[in-house]
Amino acid sequence: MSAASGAGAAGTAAQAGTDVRRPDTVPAELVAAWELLERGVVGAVVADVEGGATWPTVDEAQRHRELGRRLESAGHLHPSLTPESFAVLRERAAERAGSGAPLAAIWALVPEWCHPGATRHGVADLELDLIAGTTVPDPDVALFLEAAAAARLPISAISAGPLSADQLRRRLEHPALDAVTWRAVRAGTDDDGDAAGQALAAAGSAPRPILLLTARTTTIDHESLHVVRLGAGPRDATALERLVARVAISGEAGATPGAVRDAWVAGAAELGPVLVGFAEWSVRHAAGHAGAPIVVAADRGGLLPELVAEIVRALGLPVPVRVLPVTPALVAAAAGGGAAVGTALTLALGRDGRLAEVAEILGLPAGHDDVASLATALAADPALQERAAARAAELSAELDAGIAAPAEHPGVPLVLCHVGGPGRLQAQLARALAAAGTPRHVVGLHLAGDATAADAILGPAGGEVLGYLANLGTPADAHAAATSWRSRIEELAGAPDRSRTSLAGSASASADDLRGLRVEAARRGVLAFLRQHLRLLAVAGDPAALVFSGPGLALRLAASSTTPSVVPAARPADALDPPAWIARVIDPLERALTAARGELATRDAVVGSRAYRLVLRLRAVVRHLRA
Amino acid sequence: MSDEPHGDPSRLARLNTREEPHVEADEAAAMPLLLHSVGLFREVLGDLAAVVRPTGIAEIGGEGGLLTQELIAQAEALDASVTCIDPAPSAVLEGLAGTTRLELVRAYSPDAITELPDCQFVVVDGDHSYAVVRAETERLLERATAAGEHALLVFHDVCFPCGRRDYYYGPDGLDPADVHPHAFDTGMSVFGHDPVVGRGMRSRGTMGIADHAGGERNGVLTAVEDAIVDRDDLHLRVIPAIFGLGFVYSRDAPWAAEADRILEPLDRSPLIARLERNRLALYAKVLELQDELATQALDRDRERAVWEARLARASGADLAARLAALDGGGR
Repeated sequence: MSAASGAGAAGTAAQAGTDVRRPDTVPAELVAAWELLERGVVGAVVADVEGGATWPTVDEAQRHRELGRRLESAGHLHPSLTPESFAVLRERAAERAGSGAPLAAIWALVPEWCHPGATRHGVADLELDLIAGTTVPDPDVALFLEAAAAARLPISAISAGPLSADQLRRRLEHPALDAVTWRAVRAGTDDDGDAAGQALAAAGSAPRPILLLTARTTTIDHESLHVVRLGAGPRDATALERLVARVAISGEAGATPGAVRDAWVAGAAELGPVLVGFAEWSVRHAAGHAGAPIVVAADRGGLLPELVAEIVRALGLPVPVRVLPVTPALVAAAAGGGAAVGTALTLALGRDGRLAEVAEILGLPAGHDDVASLATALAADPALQERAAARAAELSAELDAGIAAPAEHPGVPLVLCHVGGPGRLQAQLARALAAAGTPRHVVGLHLAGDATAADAILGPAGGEVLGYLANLGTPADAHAAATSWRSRIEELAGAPDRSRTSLAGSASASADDLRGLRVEAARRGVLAFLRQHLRLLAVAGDPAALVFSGPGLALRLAASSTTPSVVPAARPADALDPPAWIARVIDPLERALTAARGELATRDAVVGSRAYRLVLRLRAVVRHLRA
Repeated sequence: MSDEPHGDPSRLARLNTREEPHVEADEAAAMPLLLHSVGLFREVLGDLAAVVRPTGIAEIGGEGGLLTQELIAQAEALDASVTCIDPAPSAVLEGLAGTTRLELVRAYSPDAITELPDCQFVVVDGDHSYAVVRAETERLLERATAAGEHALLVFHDVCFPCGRRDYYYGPDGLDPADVHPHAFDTGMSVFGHDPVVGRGMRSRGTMGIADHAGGERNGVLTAVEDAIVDRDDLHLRVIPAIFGLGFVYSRDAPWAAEADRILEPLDRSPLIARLERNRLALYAKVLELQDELATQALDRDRERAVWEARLARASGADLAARLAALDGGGR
C-alpha cells in the first residue's frame, strides 16, 4: 500500500503573486490538485457540491425519517403516519419524480394530507434546512478551496442533485467555506449534461485550464479541463463512510509496518467508528446529567478511558472522567459486606455464574458448586466470614472512593460506561452502592452488539441501562466487526481482566509479541480515526476543539522499549509552539529515521554507480567462464 | 389611529416590571444579532399608511417577506392592492402570493414598474445601485404625477453602507458606464473606509460592493437626492436607523401635514443616529472577532497537521523497531 499522501514539509508556490500554503498532510486524492495549484497552471476551480465537495452526515433514508420526526414534533404530521412511514412516502415520491427532478417536483408528488397545517413550500423549506444542517464540507476540499480563493482564482459550484442553484447556495453557506465567493452555481435542475459539461458552463469565460473536483465520472474529455476524482465510494456515502475510507489510506496507514498494517486499518476503519462513536455517545449522555461524572469501567491506561477523556476535552464538556477497573465479580464481592455475607452474595450473584471468581476475590475456599453450599460453609466458620466481610468492606470502600460524587452535586446519577454485556454490571453496582449506604441512580452505557440488548431497566436496583448499537451511524461492516470481534474489542478497549482481585493497578503496555503489537497497531488506528472524527466535528461547527490528541500516543511511544526515557503525558500548550514532550519523544525517533534514510541513500548511490555495475558485470563474466 | 400613543399599550415598548424584571433581557436575547428588515419600522409604516390611505401598495424587492407580511396586513385593513416586484421570489413570498392578496411581479425593476397598478405607497428595497434607484424613483414619481396622485416613496439603505456606495445584485445587466469598480468577495466595516476581502459585513458573493464611496452617481441616497433635485415640492426625510429609511413625499399631498407630524421627530434624530452607529460598531467588532477566531482555527488546523504527520511517522518507526526486535529475538 503506498503512503500516497502529501506528508512532508508544507509546499509553497507562487500563484498570481500569492503563496500557496499546502497543508502538511493532504489526502491522496487531492495531491494532484495541490500540485496544479502550486505550479500556477489553474485558471479556475469548479467543485461538485453533491459529488464529493460536501458530505451528508446521514443517509437519505435517515434524513427523511428525521424530517418526519420534525414534522411530528411541530404537529404537522398526519396522525396516521409515523416518521418511518412518512419517510417511505417521501422516498416513493422521489422515485416517481425520477432522477434529477427538482425538490419542488418531488414534493408535488407527496400528498398534502400527510403534512396538515404546513404548505408544500413550508415542508420543502424544512427539508432544505435539514439538508443544510446535515451537510458538512469535506475538510480537505475546504482547505483547498480556501487556498484557491486566496490565489484569487474564480471558484464555481455544480451539482447533479434535486436542488436549484439558489438552494445549493444556501447549502454552501458554511463557516468552513466562508473564504470562498462562488462565481457561479449550476444545478442539476438547470443542466442535463455530465460533470465536465456543467463545469465548462459554470466556469464561463474564466481563464483556462479549469480544475474540476468531482466524484462523478465524466464522459467529456476536454483539453482545458483537469479532473480530480474525489473519493471512490458510492455517491451517497455519508461523511463517516468517506472519512473512514480516507483514514484507511492515509499517510499514517502507510507509515505503519506491513506486518501490522491490516490491524491498524481494522482499528481505523472498523473498530474506530464503533469505539469512538460509543465513547462520544457516552460523553454526550453524561453531559446531559449536569454534574454527573462518567466512570469508565476499564483498566487505567486503557484505550476506552483515553477516548472518553479526549472527547470530553475536545467538546469542552464539564464532565469529570474517572477510571475504575470494575468487573461484575469485583462488584458482587464488594456487595458481600456486612454480617450476612452469604445472603448478600446470594442477592448479588443471583443466577450469575461467577461464584468461583467472587470466592477467590474474598479469599473464600474453592470447590463450592453453588452459593447455598458456600453460605453454609461461611455460617460454620465465623472467622472465615469475618475475613470475607472485611475484604468485602475494603472493596466497597475502594469502589465508593472511585465513584464518589462531589458533595455539591447531590442526586446526580452515576454514569457507567463499559464495553461488555448489558445490565449485569450496572445492576450489581447499584446494589453494591445501596448496600454500602450510598444509593445512586446508575445509568449504565454499554456497547451492544445485539438489538435485543439495547435497553434494560434496572427498576428496583435504581437505574437504567442503555446500549449503543454498534451499527448506529457506522459503516456497514462495523456491526459485524463488533459482534464477531467481541473479545477483541474488549481487549482493544482495555476492558478489565476478569481475573482481577482488586480495583488497584493499571494495565501493562501491550506485550511485545506479534499479537501484542497488532493490538497496539489497532489501538493507534482507532486514535487516528478519533483525531479525524474530532476534526470533522470542528469543521461541521460542532464545538470540537482542534485538540491534538497526542499525549496518549506519546505515552505509548515513551513506554515502548525503543525510547530512551518515559515522559509524562501532558496537555499540549495552547500556543502554537511545539510542546516539550514532542522534542523528547519524536526527535530521537526522527533522527534514527534520518540516519536510516541516509544509509539507504548511500547504499543506493553505490549500487547505482558505474564502478559497482562494472564489478557486477565482471563477476557475471567470471561465473560464465567458470561454467 | 390614536393621536396619543400613550393610550395604546400595543404601541409601547415593554419595560421590566417589578413582577417581570427580565422582559427587556429576554426580548434582547430573542432578537437576531443584526436587525436589517424594513419590517422593523412597522409602527411608523402603519401610521403612514393610515394617513395616506393608499388604494395600492407596492414593494420593490421582497427578500425574506417580513416587510411583505406587514404590507399585506396594511392592505387588508385598507382594502388595497399589494404588489411585490421581485425577479426571484423566495418560497415565503410564493407562499404568500398563493394564500393572500399579494400579487407577484417576477421581473426586474425599474422596467417592471410599468406592471404595477396605481400605487400611492411604495417601498423601494431592491438593487442598491445609483442607476437603478434613480430610475425607480423617477419612474414612480412620473407615474404618480401622470395619475394625478401623491405617492409616499420609502427607500431602504439610505445610510451606511449603501447610502453613498453602490451595491450591485447584477452588474452584468447594467450599462457599464453606470457600474463602478467593484468586487463580490469584499465586506464593509465601520473601522475602515475601504472594503476588505473576506472581512466585515460581506455578501457572500450575492452582491458586488463598489470599491469607493462618495462622489457623484454612487449610492442609494445620492440617487434619491439627484432624482428629486428639481422638485422643490418634495420632502426627503431620513430615519437614521436599521441602515437608514428615507421618505419622499410632496408637501402638497393632502396628508403631508400628518406625515410631517409622524416623521419630523425621527428625521435625522441625533439619538437614533447614535444608537445606529453604536449598533454598527458592535456588530463590526463581533464580525472581526469571529473572523479572527476562524483564522486562528485554520492556522491551528495546519499546525496540528504538522504535529500529526510527525507523530504518525514516529509511530510507524516505533512499531517497525519493535517488530524488528521481535524478528531478532524470534516471534
